[in-house]
Amino acid sequence: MHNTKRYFLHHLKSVLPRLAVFTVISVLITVMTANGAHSKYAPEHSDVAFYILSVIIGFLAAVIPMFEFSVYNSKRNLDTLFSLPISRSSLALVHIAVGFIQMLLVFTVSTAALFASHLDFAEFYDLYYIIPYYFSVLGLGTAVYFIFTFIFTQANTTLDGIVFCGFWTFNLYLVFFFFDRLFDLKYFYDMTAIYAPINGVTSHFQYRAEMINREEIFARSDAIFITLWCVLGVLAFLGTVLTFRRKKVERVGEVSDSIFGYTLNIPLYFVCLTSLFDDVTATVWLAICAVIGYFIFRRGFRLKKADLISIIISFILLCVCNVIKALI
Amino acid sequence: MIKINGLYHAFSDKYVLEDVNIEIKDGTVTGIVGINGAGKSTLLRLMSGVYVPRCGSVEFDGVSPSEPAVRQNLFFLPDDPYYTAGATAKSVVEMYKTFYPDFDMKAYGDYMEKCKLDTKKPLRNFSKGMKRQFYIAVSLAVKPKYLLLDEAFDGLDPLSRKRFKDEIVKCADENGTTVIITSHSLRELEGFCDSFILIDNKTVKSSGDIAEKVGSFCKFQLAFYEEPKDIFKHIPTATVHQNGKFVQVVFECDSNTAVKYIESLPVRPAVYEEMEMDFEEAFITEVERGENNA
Repeated sequence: MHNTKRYFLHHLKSVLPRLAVFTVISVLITVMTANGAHSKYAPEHSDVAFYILSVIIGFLAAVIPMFEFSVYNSKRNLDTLFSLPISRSSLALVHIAVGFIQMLLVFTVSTAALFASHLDFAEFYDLYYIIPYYFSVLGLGTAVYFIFTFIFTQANTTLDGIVFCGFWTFNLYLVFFFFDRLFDLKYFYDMTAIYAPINGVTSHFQYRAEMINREEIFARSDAIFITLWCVLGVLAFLGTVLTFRRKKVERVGEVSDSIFGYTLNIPLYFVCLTSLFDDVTATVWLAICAVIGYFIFRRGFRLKKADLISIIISFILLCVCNVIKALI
Repeated sequence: MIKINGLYHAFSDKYVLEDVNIEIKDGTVTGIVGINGAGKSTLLRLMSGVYVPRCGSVEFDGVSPSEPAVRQNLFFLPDDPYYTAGATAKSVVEMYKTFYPDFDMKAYGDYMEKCKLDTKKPLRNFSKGMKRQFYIAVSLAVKPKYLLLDEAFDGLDPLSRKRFKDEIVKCADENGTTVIITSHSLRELEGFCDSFILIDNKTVKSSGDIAEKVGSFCKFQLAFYEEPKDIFKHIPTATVHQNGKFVQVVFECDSNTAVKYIESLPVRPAVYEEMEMDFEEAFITEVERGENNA
């Protein structure tokens, strides 16, 4: 048997205890939420608690990459792992696949538990909507999982990886919000936060299952953004495998200077949040936060020339945008 | 055969290895020596495919270690090997067995029995020496063609060191394993390694047979009636250590030539005698000479 297959089976076996814990906790939360959503006195007004499954898959999509890839944020571990007779791409694929299996199993068992919990109230719901809901949210959850995996693996430490994932939860939303303030896009940015597509699809199928006629909740722009997130997910998957192959062991544990991390997000958050407030005091506070962000990034008080340049450029950009806004 | 050609490696912009050229014959035991931070461990990481060289190449029988097929015949035992929080000796062996299907459980069991190690105990409860013995048992059971050991003697008691050395020599003789070992304890490498590679000032300062290297130096202790001043400038010495009237001089030549040099000194010593030189002293002499020249 090939080393990759053997390592896949070995690694899958090693995550079984974690998988069992995730499954038990998720099923308990699902059943408790489903029971809480029912009203004995007015069952026709009870909720189909699809949203709890979305919370579970959202949580797993963010947490599993950290469990799977934090082992690669230690030089000590890499001395052993990267000298084993398996390619780095195969190592990445094994960890991505095992992570996906964990997410799939926990989500599937939780969905089954939710379905079973709602059976007593089946006459008030159209429970078959759980099937399209399951597949669409699993697909979107997988895209989010791939994106978080890519972002997490761009960091050189686990803590930086967590911060990067936090940045990417809202950064696209902030960018669209920023352009909305400039050009009044309005409806465009609803689906730009990383969890928004899951939330949108959940609401859609939940209303259907509850037999509430809300055709208008699913706009065409939502479908565009859902497709965009799926494409990003595929790109993130490919990006993870490609960048993992070129991972520089020497940089592990050092400052995380990936373009997808602090380098991009500190100026981005500064510009976007400043445009939100339109207030000098808020701008000063956000500038202080940006500088603190750079201190955290550099792990010291000595900033690099590139950091100062990006602060200045983002400030100039902010001024230019305000001028454009005033002209419009 | 291992061939390293024009190897350069840097951390950020700081070069730690420059123009390293090495050839290591199959079935030999080679010791890599050098001061702290000389780049010994970096060289092993480059050889095991953990690091990718900035420039130059490492080849095992003509193939780069970045190829997993090469690493199938290679085992790198780092200074502090990886294991998960709750790992036991048994679970770590299971991991290695997935990558090395020919893992010799009998050889592993025999070595573990000699070391009296409990395979069911979590590795985190093992002492440093016990962990080292366990990983040595694993590396011997893998039976690789190339065995790279970083600071392998660290934490081992004298009995374990002897057992380990015996096994390594057996491994090289019986299986034709090429062993490359770094160590701070140069006395451990003497009489056990076939050859040595001295890394100093980012490059290979010298290499070859250990006995030949030690034999190329001779050390003399000289005693003078009065404290001598600057008299050794006139003769070719490797190092000179003066303590008042007493001077220890190392020459890079045979004893007879060294005696001629001593007798040609402008101030004759009251007495002088040759002292035994070992590999550690030869190493110190080589490094000090390099520092003095720099």
